[in-house]
Amino acid sequence: MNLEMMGRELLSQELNGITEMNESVETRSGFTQTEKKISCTRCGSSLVKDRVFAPCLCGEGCFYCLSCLQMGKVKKCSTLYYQKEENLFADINEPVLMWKGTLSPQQQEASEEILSTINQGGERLVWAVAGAGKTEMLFQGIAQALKDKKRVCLASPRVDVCLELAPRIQHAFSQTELIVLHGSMEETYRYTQLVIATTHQLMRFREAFDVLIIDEIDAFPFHLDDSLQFAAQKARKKNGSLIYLSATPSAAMRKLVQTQQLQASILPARYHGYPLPVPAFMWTGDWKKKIQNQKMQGRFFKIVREMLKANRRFLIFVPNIDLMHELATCLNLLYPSAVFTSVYAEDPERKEKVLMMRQEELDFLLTTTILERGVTFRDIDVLVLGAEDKTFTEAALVQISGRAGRHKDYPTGEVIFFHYGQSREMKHARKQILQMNRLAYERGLIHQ
Amino acid sequence: MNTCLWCGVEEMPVIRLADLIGLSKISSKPLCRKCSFLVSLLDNQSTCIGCGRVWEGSEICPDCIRWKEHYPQYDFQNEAIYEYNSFMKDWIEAYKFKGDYRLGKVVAEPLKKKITQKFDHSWLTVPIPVSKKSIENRGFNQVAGLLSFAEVNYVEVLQHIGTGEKQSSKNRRERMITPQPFEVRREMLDMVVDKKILLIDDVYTTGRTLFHAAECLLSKGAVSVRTLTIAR
Repeated sequence: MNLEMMGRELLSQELNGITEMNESVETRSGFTQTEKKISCTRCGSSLVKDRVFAPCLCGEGCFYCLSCLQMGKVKKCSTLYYQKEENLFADINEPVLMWKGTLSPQQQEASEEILSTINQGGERLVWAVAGAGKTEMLFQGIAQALKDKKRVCLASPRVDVCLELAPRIQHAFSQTELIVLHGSMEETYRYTQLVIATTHQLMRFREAFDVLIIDEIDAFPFHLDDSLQFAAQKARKKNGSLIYLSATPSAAMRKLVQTQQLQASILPARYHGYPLPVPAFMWTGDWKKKIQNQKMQGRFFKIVREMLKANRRFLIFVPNIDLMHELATCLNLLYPSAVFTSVYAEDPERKEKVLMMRQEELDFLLTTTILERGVTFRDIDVLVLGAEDKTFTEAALVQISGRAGRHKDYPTGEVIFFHYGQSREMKHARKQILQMNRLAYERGLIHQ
Repeated sequence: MNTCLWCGVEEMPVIRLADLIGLSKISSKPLCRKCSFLVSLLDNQSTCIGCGRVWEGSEICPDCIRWKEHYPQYDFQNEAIYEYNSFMKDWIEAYKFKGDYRLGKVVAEPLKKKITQKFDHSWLTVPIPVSKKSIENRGFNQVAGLLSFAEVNYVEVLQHIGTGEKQSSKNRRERMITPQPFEVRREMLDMVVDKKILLIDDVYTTGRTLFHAAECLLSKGAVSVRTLTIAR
């Protein structure tokens, strides 16, 4: 029995010297052909543009899958090896869950719903606003699953989310073996009962998890939807449970909830019981032209000046890197004594800069959408310049607004969308935030 | 609309007046404007006449002086198209090691231009062979793949007989002591005799691979061996 292969479906070059092939190892071809379409067996892509023809030793007409090439090349002539998951885990001493905190009534309710989904199987969406305290609501369900010898995976499309989750989960379940799987991991794979993985890594699993929890499912909208769904459905056991966590579920998913095709737990309030900050809209003319011509006038620059004067610290979200650098030049000219910097996805000093902002060493921080989620600052305001730009989707704007007022000692904060014509996404974002606040009032979850 | 092979961005091709009146073919560029700044062509830089690296001065570089001592009879000269910068490194990783064949198109045009401008039909173009192990994983010879994209005829007269340990996973010293990994295919021995041969490889790092291949060809009667690499 190869424990390392259990519940996994791998290419021959990924077997790493596992040569013991017995009748329990099942094989499939790299591509699956049905009457209607050809699709990659590992990632499920059936798009013509994802199949690239290339010369191959196997002869003429071989192709490979472009969609999951990053994980190693799946060719038409490849073989995938799979071994059934048998849940061979050691007993865990009580208490399985080491976490000693308490849940708010709203969290407790969701926690029980999650537990029942985990016990019964099926799917559930946990729609919780930024700052509701999602992770803690999972503990009870995970603990029960682990006791029942179930294999549990927490996945997210974003590696930073995985890396942030890992120590918290390991701490709460310190007696359980856990591994974190992502693209640039150095550790070699081990068979563990608890797995934390990027959703990409789920492609290497097949019918492995009794419980699969996907955090921040909407982190990459649109294009990843299909492959993420495929990977999730493949990685979970057929009778297992699948739980989605999101602060901003897609319209498609909300529709499923509305039509009662998907069970949902909705958490409209933050753990501290204050409402979500509602974004204000401010027209600021052709902001792009203004910063490109270094004409530093208008409401945006006025507000920045006022905030600096009032010693408020703030984030400025900008649609792209080029504009961010141009804006940085403007602000440098205008406020040479202000301490600030800018941060973007490929920034090698991203972590350090975020830390500087968190430690209140900066007056403000310019950023692209990269800081829209996953980061918490104590007491900040949030400005978005060019909120009508297409990079700012409804989900992105809701997440961005969710950066303000996170801390219980500073539960309020200003959120301003500066624009040159309101977009539909801006209006929908504000509507979503107002709806959540209303729901929280109705349920009596707001203190004031 | 062109799609950038590297970053996937879509962009309108620039159409010049000459294109419209049919003086030249409208070429679809493999890279978008932004990505095309990531490559550094060696053409307009001062380079070493021995190995083609960026080099000031009329003499050959210290590496080439050492090679000269090693191979006093061999009048080597390497042409390189691009500087081996971080983009080239990533490109080679994606094309060769990840096996993304379509990326070969990125260098096709300059490769074709370089070969046709500098080498006439009297030269026999030969790609550096890859080990059996690599070809099993990758499915293709990466250098032959590039020549196909560049529409250059080539003959695979050499074959790899080594163990297939990757040069790229060794340090300089380990590379230098690598034993001769090539031989001329038996059935192609007479194709080499009295021939001028142009050897093609993807990247020139220490030169070890190319010198091995050249040594092999010269010993079988080639009159002249020149080399060309995508990157240096």
